[in-house]
Amino acid sequence: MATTQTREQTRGVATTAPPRPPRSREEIETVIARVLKWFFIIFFVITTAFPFYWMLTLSVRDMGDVLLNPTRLFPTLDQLANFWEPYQAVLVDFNFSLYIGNSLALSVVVVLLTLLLAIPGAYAVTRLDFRLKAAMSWGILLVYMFPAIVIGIPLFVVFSQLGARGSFPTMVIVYMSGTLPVALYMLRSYFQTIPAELEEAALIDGMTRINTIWRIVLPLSIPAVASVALYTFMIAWNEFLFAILFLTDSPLSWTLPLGLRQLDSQEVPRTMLMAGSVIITVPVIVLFFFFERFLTRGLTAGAVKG
Amino acid sequence: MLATFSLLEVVIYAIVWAFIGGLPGFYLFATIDRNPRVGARLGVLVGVGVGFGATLIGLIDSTDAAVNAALLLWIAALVAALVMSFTHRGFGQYSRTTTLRQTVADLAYGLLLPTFIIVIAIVVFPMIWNLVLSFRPVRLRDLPDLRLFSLEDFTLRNYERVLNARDFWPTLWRTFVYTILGTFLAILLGLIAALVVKDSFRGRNIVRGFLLFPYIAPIVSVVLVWKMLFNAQFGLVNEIVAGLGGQRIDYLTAPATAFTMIVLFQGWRYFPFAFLFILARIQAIPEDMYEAAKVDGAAPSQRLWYITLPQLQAVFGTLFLLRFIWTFNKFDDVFLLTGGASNTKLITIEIFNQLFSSRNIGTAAALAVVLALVLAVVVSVYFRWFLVEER
Repeated sequence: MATTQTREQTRGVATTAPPRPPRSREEIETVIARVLKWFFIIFFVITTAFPFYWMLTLSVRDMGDVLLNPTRLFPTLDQLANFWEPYQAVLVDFNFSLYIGNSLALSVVVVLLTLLLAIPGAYAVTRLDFRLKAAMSWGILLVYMFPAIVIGIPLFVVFSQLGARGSFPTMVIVYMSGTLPVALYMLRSYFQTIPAELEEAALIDGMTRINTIWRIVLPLSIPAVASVALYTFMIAWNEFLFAILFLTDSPLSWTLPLGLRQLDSQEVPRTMLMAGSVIITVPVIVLFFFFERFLTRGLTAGAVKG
Repeated sequence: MLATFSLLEVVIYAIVWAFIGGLPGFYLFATIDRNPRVGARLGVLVGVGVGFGATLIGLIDSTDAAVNAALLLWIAALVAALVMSFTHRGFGQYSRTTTLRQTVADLAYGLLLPTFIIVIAIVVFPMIWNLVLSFRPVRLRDLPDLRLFSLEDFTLRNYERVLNARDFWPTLWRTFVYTILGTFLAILLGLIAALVVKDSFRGRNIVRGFLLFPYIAPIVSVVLVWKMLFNAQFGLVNEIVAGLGGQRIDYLTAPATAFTMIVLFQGWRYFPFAFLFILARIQAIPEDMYEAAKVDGAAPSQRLWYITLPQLQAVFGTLFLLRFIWTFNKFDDVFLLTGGASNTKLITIEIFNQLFSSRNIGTAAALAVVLALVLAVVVSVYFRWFLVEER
């Protein structure tokens, strides 16, 4: 360190007298860093965004065209004009409109129930003092990391036994085994960042606990609650393991991911699968862009399991 | 009636009824009598009493009847609560003078109880039951009339079968390699992405948005796009490789490349997760540390190596742990990408195969237990090692 310092100092003196000084390590490395930076920006943009662009393009082309011109990057105007055809086929002929309804209903109910349970639960674990507090906190962490497939088998068996394997309430409950721990964990991390003084002041002024939660904690937590809602929605919307375990033999209740997967194993033009993929991906991406600000913060506050 | 059940079943049955009965009782007293602890105790007694009693005299002989009985209990509790709220009196003998501490604790239990019950029902309970199933010779075809909790047919055969299977050790080893490589790749890519995006430039917000795409998009659709891109006949990647004079390969099914592909996929899909964590931490590093280093003549690479990376150590630790756990028991990614063919079979996929191809619940459950145990061992070793490091 010391030698570099002296070198810098001498160089500072030397610049007053040309010829051109040798480039310092600082300058060289700054240039390299800039080059690398743009290289990686391009690399990341291509690897992350291009597959989605490709999905969109392929979805409007027909299979014959793809086989003939595999490298064509843009669809023809003709294909763009008829872009609706594959979508109509997927939505109507392959029942995707039904699956959209199923997925939407399931995800929304799961989100609401998860929030209803997780907000008071997370609050209690962070703010209130009780004997089992530490145990509960650890429990949340443990459950958060627990493998879904280990829970999947017994749940599969018990609901088969009850004859309710593919029913809506079953799916809600089963999906909540994935969303509830995440929501609890995220909200707990967030509540820890809200200063307790605010609530204490309110309590001293004679507000009840419940009122404090309702009037002070919740309004302060709107960003966190929004991000938890969105994440649990995404988890439920993207869920695949429980869908294939529980719903495979009840086609009328298939969710979008399961429907798409089953379509994949049929003799269907590959490009039509891309239309299906677009249908299932677009809602998530749109939601994400609307709420990006909340989401990035929420992710680091607790992260999503996956 | 109860004599035909095993002790284990009776205990489980009692616990279920305790919860079903305990919950309404709890709220009854929490709202009216401000004494939820006694309420919970009484609720458990009523629950177990009604549930057991009705079963003993034969009123409850099916699942439907049990559900109806539980609902009746709840309705009764609600009606009682309503009546009491109108008459403004509770069961006076249970009232007590409470300290603030007790009130707070009561409230905490009240707020946690629903969550607690759900978590017990859908996580803890199945976990225990998975253990029970792993010691029983249960097949898929036994399902509708399976005795739920019973250890009379106790056997170790499932474990024998699982551990002696020819490809058990290779599969376990492969799962390890996949997990470690995938985790490293995801964290490395996440680190690079965070370093690249940390300083502002034009379009930074859009780039940051793109970076999260692989992670938030539904797994099924992402896998389908990968299958398209790497297809041997019309995949774009193959076209490019062929254009450069290479050979056309179906990357996802060829034994030589399939494993690399699932690792790459793991890195691609989950680096955004690492990226967000690392970015948040990088942005929290105080600027004057860099200023001071700069004054001391540290070049950019030295600032990265001696300031940024050491500051990120804790994040790397957390990320590695989280990603390791989740990758180790990840099922859908590889199942959808390759179905476990061409040297890509992981433990979770084998569990699924045991369940649906071999139609053997017992071995699937045993394998799941093995998975959880291995994971627990690794995590505790990691914690030990990591905590020592920290000191």
